[in-house]
Amino acid sequence: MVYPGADSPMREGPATQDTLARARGGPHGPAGESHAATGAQEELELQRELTLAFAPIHKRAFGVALGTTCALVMVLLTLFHLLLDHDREINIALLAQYFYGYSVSWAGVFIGAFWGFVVGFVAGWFAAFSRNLAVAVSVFVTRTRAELRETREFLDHI
Amino acid sequence: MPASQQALHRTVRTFNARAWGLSTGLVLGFGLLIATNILVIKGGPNVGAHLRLLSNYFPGYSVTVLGSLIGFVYAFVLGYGLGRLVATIYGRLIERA
Repeated sequence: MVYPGADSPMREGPATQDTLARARGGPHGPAGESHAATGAQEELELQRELTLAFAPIHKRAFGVALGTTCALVMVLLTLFHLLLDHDREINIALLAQYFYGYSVSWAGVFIGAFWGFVVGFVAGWFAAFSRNLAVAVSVFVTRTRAELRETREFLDHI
Repeated sequence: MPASQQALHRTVRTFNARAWGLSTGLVLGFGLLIATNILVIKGGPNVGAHLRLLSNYFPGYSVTVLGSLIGFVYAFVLGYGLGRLVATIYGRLIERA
């Protein structure tokens, strides 16, 4: 599945349509084509697998997922220190150096959740972005290398 | 599973593992870089008294601009290793499932 707005490095193009046509028995007709149809079916299956394997991660969704997790961690961490850790052996109030307004208090639970979400969202969005970029660059490099290898002896055939 | 398909799965797994390694490495690297430089910009008499304890694990790291760059390299390497490990294990498990 390709999410809206996501740039897929492997989109269904004319090759896929051709594969589909062959899998359905065309364009040369179904007679004596069962072997070819099986091969086309396998190719189609392979293309589906590849599309899934290289599908880009949805940046906003991943950001929201990580942001929500970080917000939840901040809430639980603050509540733990507020309700159970009376000795305050670990001074998590130092997070106020980064999270403006944060403290180990009831207000701090919400402020910490807000900052946790912001930091998690930015980290998740950036992680998804760099992962998608790395996959796209790797696919591009591999495809270019393969194409160059195929056309290396092009001049010899002229 | 045919050998060609196995090779393809292996290649896809490597691609994904490398991509996740890069991604995790960049997030951790930039995270430490930004965290260090926020403290450097804020300043004060004892800058980064707690964050500088990371130098126990990252020799050469300090709460300075140069230290943030050294920390970026360490965090990137650590993140790359962790991301790649997690993605490799995930890829193998998902293949068996």
